[in-house]
Amino acid sequence: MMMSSKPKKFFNRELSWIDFNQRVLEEAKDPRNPLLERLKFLSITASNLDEFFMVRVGGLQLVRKAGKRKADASGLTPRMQLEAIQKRTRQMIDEQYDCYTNSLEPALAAGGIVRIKPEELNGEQEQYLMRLFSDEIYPVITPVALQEKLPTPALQNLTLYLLVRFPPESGETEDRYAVLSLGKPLERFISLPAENSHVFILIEDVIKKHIGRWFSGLTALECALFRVTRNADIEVREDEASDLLSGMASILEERRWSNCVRLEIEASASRSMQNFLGSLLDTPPSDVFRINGPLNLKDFMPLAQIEGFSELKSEDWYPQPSPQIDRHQPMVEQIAAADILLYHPYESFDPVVRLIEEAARDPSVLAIKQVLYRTSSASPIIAALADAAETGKSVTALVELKARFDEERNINWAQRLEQAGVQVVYGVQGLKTHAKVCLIVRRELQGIVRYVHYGTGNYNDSTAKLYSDISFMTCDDALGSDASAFFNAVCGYSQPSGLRKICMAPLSIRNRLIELIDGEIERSRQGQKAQILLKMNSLVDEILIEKLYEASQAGVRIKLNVRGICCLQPGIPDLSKNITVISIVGRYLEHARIFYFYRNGEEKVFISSADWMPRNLDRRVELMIPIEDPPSRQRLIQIIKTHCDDTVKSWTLLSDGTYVRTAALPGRKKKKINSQQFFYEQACEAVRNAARLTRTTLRPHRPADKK
Amino acid sequence: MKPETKTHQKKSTPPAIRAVIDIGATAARMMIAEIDSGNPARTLEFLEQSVNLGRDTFSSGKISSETIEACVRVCRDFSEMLRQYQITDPACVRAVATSAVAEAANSDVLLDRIFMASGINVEVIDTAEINRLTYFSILPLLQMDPSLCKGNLLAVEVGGGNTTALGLRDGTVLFAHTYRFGSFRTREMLEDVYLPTARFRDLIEGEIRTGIRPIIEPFANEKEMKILILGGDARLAADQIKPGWNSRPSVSLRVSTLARFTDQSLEMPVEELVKEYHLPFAAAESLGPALLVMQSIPQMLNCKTVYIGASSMRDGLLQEMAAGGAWDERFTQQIIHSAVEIGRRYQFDQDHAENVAARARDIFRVMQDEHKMLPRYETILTVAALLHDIGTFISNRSHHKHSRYLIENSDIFGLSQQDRTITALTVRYHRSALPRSTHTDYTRLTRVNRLRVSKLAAILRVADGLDRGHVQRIRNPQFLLFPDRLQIGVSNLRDCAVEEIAVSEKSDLFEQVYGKRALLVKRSPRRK
Repeated sequence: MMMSSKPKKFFNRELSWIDFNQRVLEEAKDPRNPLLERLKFLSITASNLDEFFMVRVGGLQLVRKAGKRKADASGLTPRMQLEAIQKRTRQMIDEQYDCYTNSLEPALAAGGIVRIKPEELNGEQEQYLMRLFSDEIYPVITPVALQEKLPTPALQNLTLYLLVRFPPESGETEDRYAVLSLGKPLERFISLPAENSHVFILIEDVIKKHIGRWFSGLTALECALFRVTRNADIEVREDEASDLLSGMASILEERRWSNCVRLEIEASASRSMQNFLGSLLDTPPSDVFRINGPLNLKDFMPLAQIEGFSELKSEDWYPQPSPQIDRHQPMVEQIAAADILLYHPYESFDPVVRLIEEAARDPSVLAIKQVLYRTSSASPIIAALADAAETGKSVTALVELKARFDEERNINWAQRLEQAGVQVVYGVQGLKTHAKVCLIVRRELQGIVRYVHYGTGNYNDSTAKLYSDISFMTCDDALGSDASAFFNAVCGYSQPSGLRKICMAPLSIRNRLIELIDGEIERSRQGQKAQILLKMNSLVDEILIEKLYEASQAGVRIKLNVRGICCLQPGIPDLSKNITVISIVGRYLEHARIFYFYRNGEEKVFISSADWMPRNLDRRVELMIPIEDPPSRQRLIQIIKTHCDDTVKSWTLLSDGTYVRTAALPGRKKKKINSQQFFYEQACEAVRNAARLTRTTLRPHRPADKK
Repeated sequence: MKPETKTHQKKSTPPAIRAVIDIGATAARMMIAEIDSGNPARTLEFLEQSVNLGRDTFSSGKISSETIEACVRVCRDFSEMLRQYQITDPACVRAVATSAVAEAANSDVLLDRIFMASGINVEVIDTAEINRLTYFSILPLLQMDPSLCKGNLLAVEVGGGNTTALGLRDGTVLFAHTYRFGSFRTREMLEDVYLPTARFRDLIEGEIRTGIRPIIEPFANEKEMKILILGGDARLAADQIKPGWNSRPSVSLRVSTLARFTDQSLEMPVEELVKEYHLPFAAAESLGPALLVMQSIPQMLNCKTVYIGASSMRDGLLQEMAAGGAWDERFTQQIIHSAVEIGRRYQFDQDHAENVAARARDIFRVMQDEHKMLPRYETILTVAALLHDIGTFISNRSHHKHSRYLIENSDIFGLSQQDRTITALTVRYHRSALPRSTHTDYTRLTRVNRLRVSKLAAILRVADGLDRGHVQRIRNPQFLLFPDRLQIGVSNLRDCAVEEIAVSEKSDLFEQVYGKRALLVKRSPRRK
């Protein structure tokens, strides 16, 4: 393979993603973290890898099969990328299982959470299991014979199966196989009666133990667990699906049976078993992973969240009520009095839900418009929107069915909203609607007032507890009219027309960012101080990376806080020596996008739903909102600066592409800053201060906020 | 939840919400705005969707059924938005269509379909109304930028089918014309001519120059000129050349910069225009000719800069709705000014014309309780009075009939076709025969309009009689209304024998319409 001699200026995005997952894995490996916290991180790495294989590896395999050989910006062809991914992921999987088997499992057992093997069961447990097996496990499993001549039964994506091998029938030479599904409705973990500890056994151990029950008269030679990962990089072809709702339903169906991109099989399985499965699923050995431990570590998440065992967990952090918000006053009045900026989950998401719930009941409200991307199944927001529509308000919900892996859930509430009389719009053709905005149109004495919530996160009250995101609520006229224009455009009422303050992808975000970076470049050239701080999840867009390089060369100081993929190479002389990149991996998933430009002291700061990826800037509907209200702007600047200064939970990207814990960097004697901890404590402190203040005034008794 | 209102906030009703819709050659647009007395309108929503009306009408003369359905869909969306703002009263919505609908053979089908499907009643407006609305739309712009008011200003809106030109000197309207010349019309005309790009451009430029010549003709010899261009294509050009300008009411561009942008856009295929400027196809197709028109006007007038205005006909519509259909003082003055200009063209006796106009106004006011007409009819009466004799330019025989068709066929700024017809017929009856059932032009009017003509003509006849001698002998007449008569007191009755006879002769229609005689009496010095 020829490689160009020209030095490449970009890191490969897939490998950069693997680096991110590695940083999460390091948290699982870090003995300073509480045990169940480590188990949670381990489970997250497994879940991340699943998604990575389904989407990225699946996509790359298709590209390679299509015979495309074009190298990406980092100089790697699809084949080279796949090979590198294989190597790195195999290594990562080894580390995952080393961590689980050699550290976590023994330590958990010592802490009172014991995984028991079949041979270790005591009499009482044995009896309990026997009964459970006969009543609840045996009846729901039907083994299916597998033969190469017969059509392959449906092996569902990401589901656990047990493969059983039998000797050939008399007169035949080929071994025989059968498969048992361990998927729904079975639970992976079975708790067993035990004293003073939590003892559990894995379902596969139980089934293996009793495998003979299904096959009387046959002797199983061996059995092994396996799991298939299918390509999910299939998108609905909108030109073919006139009705997106049914199109999306068929995508879900298709995804269940698309080609296998990864086959995981227990390491104890014999070669012949592996070969049999490989040919059955048309999977080459390079895509087969032999797993030395329990498959699907993702399943361990509920165990990490087990009740009790607080000594094995981090101290709970509860979202704090923002002292900016008076819970006895309607939200619209408070927004009318001053813009509100919230930082979740340090501060509670409740005010956002309350804004929508109150609007649903408010007789002065004419219309509510809302984008729903990923929302939780029992969302109070959905309920509020349905209520509002039922009481005759004009309610528009832009439901993005294309939110990956959430499609099924999305279809459900979309239908529910339609039944309630909500005008449901299923996204924009060819574009995913990723913007997060809610608009409330209210008729007041002085005229129409528009209340808007702009966010960096989805309207999902359950992920809002784990993702750190910014909410901004305002009734600024320009921001309100921009929200109207946005909805008119995405709902097809109007061609996109002049937005006053916000920018919208795919129309204007990239160009606006280029203008802003150019501004700093020009200022730096004229000898002014020039600085850019950026916080996002992923930085991939080549045009913008080139622009940042140009800015670095012009002397602009650039600090990047990129949680996940970063294709920019920092700290390279004559290219990017003024750029530093850190990534924070902490107990919350960093999710806010904040862009800051110094502008010679006239600081400008934006929140956005968009990462700097071609996908977000060209193929998604995204928003970028300037935060101009002085207190909110100051707060936001503090937020991004504090994150950029994190030395405890941050990793620094070196120019060779490796990530090193910032604290471990040589020559740094910086004060310890754990930004997530800082914001949590700040939120608690604010509540305490507010409580002190209210104590001096007489108010009706209300429930205490103490956790 | 009942929000408390802040104590200092005065209790009143919320500002009114109005919607205006215009259906043009390439797009249908709706604006919903709040109108609060004294304040500029506040736009709440602006919707724009592309339609292919121009392409259909200007190429085949009729609107295809697909386009009709597309328009119906757009209007349904508009009506959904009206519902969101709870705008249910049809009086709060004004929907108009311009040339692309007006000239289609099947415009009725379209308008009926839209009304049936969306409840929106679209009216086709004539060129005089477009002129008036264009004037209304640039008014706020002139107020905000007084430098535009100084000297000569040519305001041009290049539409898909028509181009409206408004000439102003020191803020006063000199002329207002709408020409059957537009970007889409030009483009469609050349649709079937297959030529290489360069030749295409030559041809189209030739067409444009021919089209523009009458527009700029009144200003052809002026040295100091300002040019203000309105319309969607102009706004697009300004957006590209000076992004972010639209927070201001207008922006100035160098003509050379505009020309460069035009060159660049003309070289781009339509698909690229769509992608680059985020345009719908219909708008992209007519962009080139529109830009050529915009740059050719200043070039032909040797101007180096050109102003682009942010306002549109919709602003004019809103202004008019805010005023509740009444014409403000300034606008009335513009109409009268325009009438005087026409009078001059036909060498009218200005002193006589203005005297008759003043007397007619006096009588109109004193008779208010009798005729109960809106104030705008006072303006129409004034125009009729100013122009009643212009027919003598053609011939002294039956000059009232010549006056009539001159008025009907003149662009009197601010008057719609219907206003002009009423004016013309009022003039026609200022002398000689009274309205009769055999006068078909009169009987063709609606009853309300027939009455208007009679009421106005009755007054005009008396007012004309008061200056029969054309020497303005009667000064400060005093009008007193009695149950049986309108008494006109003059101090120098002895000098006014001619007028006295004329009034008594010419009060025939007055008596017939109002049941009162008009008569001249000697004014008693003691009465007020």
